[in-house]
Amino acid sequence: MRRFIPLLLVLATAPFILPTWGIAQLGFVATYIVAGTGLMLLAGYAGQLSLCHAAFIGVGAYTEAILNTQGWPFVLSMPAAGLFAAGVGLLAAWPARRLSGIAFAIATLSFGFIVQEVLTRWEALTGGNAGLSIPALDPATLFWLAGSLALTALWLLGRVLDSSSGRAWVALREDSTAAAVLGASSPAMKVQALLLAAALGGIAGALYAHQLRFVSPEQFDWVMSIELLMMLVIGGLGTRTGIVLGALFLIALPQAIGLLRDAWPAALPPAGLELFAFGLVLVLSLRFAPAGLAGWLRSL
Amino acid sequence: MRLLFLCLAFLSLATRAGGITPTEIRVGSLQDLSGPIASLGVHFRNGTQMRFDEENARGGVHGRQLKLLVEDTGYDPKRGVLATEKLLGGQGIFAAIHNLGSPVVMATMPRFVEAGVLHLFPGAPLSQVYEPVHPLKFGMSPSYTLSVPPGARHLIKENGFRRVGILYQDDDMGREVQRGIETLLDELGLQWCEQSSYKRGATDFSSQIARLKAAGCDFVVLGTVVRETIGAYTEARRGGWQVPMMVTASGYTAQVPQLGGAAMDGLYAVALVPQPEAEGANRALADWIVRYKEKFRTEPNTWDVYTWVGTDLFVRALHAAGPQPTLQKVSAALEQLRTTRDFFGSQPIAFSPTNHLALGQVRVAQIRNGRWENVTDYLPIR
Repeated sequence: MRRFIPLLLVLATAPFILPTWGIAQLGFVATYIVAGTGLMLLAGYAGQLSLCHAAFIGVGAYTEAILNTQGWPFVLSMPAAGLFAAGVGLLAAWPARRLSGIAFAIATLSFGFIVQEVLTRWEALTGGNAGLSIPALDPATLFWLAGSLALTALWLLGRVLDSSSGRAWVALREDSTAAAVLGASSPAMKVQALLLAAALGGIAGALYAHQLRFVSPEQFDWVMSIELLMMLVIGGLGTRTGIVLGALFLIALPQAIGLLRDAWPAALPPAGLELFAFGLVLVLSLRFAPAGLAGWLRSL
Repeated sequence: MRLLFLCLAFLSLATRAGGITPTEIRVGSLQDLSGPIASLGVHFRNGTQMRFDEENARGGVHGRQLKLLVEDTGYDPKRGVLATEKLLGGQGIFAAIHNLGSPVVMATMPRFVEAGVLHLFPGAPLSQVYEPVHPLKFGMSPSYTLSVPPGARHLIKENGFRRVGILYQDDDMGREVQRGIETLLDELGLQWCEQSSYKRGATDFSSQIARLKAAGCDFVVLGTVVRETIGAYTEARRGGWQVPMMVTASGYTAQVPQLGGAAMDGLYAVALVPQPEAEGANRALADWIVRYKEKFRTEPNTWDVYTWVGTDLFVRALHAAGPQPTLQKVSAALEQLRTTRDFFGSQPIAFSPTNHLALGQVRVAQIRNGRWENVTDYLPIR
């Protein structure tokens, strides 16, 4: 619990001392922590490589946008976004529960495509490619909400990992056959993990929708799913600290790219510089800090 | 403590007081300088900077230098939101100009407007950026639904085409083109000959072209961007199908004949602003091209002209607003603005209290001998 004290301090004081830009940055960090917690549970602890996390975030974002514009207060619409995303997660979990490894990854990737296609085609509800706008929330309120949810998600993850389910997920990651022998049903464990991950993704999506105030299907593509996975790998797979460090890194990286861009040779095309920088950092991270930033910090 | 907060709040309001100081006017711009459309973003930045530098070299506007603050969004709305907060909260800006990318613009425009910042001429062909009319919102280019039909109408009537087909990107841009042409066909009493679409990022158009060809289309509208335009057009020509094709303003760029080569000859396009061609240029244009190349070490293209023209409108409005410009004065000056054809050959622009769209006309151009040439004069879009 003591490790949360610095985060609680940031949460309590940031809106009073930071400019709106800084609050917005930290708000996105908190949102990515919520989303990353779900994915960490699934990929980092249960060992299932999911490539459809953006779809859950998208479902949550659209649910929030639709309900909010219909007058639902966010105290009701946000849980609804989480629940609806969990329901969609169940759809993904059903065919994927008996798969593992690359087959699980491909199945979830395909599911992500389907969700994005539904968001695009169901124009009457989602506005299609033109997207939906969403009313604004006060920046400080939004920050406190996102920060509180991020801390709650991290705390819950710790509690879940200490439970029998948490130990079963880790066992599933280490050796699914041995876990099954010990009574931990692999398909059931996968369904549970996916449901929780989807619910957290949905809540993160609801926060994301308020932060952007505009949602469109292209925002929730496979690139976002990969970005979230990279965030966890760079932060440190299998650690809660890794989620926080990864989220901080993800939001700070564009600033670093800004510096790199200024030094970028004019002869080289600038398009794709961001993906290039991401890839480079990931390769360097895997080579020199395979346990991520969290592992590197521990080794100091 | 309370006193400290009051001081901070006062300071925050003071820095937001219009982005104007006695010596400078700060203007923000959200560009994609590292993402998927960075090749466009660089020219958006250059064209804007070029016009600001020209004005600053003349002493600025009523003694104030124009300062352009460019933020990179990477075509990511999340980064766009953060960059917006940085521009609004950090140094404060008077206007945001030529923000690039529809998702970025849709996510950031309300923030600029709510903060009392002029939102000028975004690089997003969306009607929302100029309609409904708002004193702080001025658009540059019409939506595809409006800009494509006049060019298609001209070519259909001129050549007597009866079997119109379309190949479009299966996204908002492509669907807008399709809707625009559909309305036109209704107006002309024609039916679709064939419609075919492709997913963004597609590189093979053989099945779509085969389908359009099999249907017997005598004219095909392309709701495509650069690479797809080249792919689709060359695929048709490779199969010996010489059907006339017309692409949207997104395909009206020097890259199309440059990358596609001789095979692109004959392609029509809807053009909003002219290409800055050195060959046959008037003296002012030739001089502008030389200065541009010296400054940016690259060739100018139509997007430099697009942003130069937009920036010029803003600079004119600032001059007209007088030595103490306010948002109301500049907005009113823009509404009174009337321009004539400039050295690029740009269309005359006339805003009004009920019209905040700059480019209300399009031209049809065609690639001839590897260069875009104008086929028509400007045609009204409505």
